[in-house]
Amino acid sequence: MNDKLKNYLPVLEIKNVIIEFGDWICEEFNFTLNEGEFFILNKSSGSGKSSLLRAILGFIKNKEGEIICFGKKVNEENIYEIRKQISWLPQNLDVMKAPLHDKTTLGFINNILNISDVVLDIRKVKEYFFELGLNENLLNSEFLSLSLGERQRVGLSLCALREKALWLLDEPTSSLDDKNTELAIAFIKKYSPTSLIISHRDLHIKGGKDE
Amino acid sequence: MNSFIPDWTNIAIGSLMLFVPIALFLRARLGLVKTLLISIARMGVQLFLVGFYLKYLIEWNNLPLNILFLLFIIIAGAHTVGSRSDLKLKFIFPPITIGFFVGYIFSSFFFIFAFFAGGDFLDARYLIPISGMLIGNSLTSAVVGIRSFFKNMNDNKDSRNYLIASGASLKTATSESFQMSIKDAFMPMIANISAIGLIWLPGTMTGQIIAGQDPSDAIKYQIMIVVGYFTCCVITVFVSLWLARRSAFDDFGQLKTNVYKV
Repeated sequence: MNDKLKNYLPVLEIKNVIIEFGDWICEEFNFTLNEGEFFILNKSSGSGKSSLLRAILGFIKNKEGEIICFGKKVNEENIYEIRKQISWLPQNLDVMKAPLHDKTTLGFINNILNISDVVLDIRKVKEYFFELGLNENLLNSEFLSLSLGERQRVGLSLCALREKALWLLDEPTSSLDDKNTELAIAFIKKYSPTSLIISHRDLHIKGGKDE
Repeated sequence: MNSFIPDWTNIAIGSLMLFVPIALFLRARLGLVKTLLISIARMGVQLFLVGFYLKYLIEWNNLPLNILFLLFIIIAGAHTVGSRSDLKLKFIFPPITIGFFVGYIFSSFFFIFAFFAGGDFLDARYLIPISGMLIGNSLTSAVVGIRSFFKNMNDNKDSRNYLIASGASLKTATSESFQMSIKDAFMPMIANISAIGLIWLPGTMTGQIIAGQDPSDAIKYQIMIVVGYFTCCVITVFVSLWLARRSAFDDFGQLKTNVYKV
């Protein structure tokens, strides 16, 4: 991480971004995230934090302002390139009740890695599970039977397995107890190259700049 | 062997049995009586007209006229499916119409060159009723398939976006919704097919048996019809969904909100 800190390239630039849904308008976002940084957006709920992540991923359009990711403007042409460099962890990691696919946690991980063009390394999966306080027996359980907190940590291990340049984490510790929150934060610090983390509570990540 | 033909008075008196369902509907306060009465009236008028024009279509047996008639039933079929779909007709009508064309033309090809080899499928007395069966029997499954797909699309937005964010193509990200809707559409039809002959005698062979046909010949028609409408319907639903899926998403891979009826 220290090597990357030297470069200080802006990974994500949020310029006067405003998002609107019908009558609801979020507050204006304005910040720059440099390589190697952890940026913790610590605002009240309803401020549009999750929507901001969705706007970065091109799932919703910002009403005003500009989002620049890896030097490219988020628009129709660039969005697929941009998404390829991002790992997104939504607040509630949900999957369809698929009728045909492997329903186990390992099946889910394998499916996401396939889509990401990453080869499954079971040794790494087990290592990450251990670091996040997850029992490796969960790999054979049905993914949808896992608790929200367990799913969040599976999602975090997927972020590390996918090895993308930017992590967008939406309340990654919202369903975790204090002990597991600590493990999750240590994990993010260890593996994430650059992170934008949304949280409603103080995460105390050293080296992160809070807003 | 001449079959018995009921006269209109008999039919009118027999139809009085409808008073019981109407009374039960009223009692249960379903608010369905008006719809039911309209449906029954429509059926009466439509069948009366069908009896009338089929008589002439078969008598004249004019191929261009028959093709015009087929175009009409395909478009009417696509319109029926589209208007029951929760989607804007402007969006869903073109894919369904193309789907019906592909499904119908493919299966009728097999009727012309295989089932009716040595006969003349294009003769109006075969072409018109059998084509009506192929398209008519496809309607329910097509409605279910399309409704289910777009309901799934709407319900599973988050998990689809998670797949898209992980690098999945739209095809991959929607494949589970696709599988589920195809299952919803065809499980009943497949179950139905397996019960033919055991629990129910379907319309075609019933009609032929009543008309005096040997049951062992009547089943041949039934087999052709079932194989034909199943094939027609599966092709129709797949083609419609493929086409609809292509135009339902914007350049960001997001489902356009304006495809749904408000």
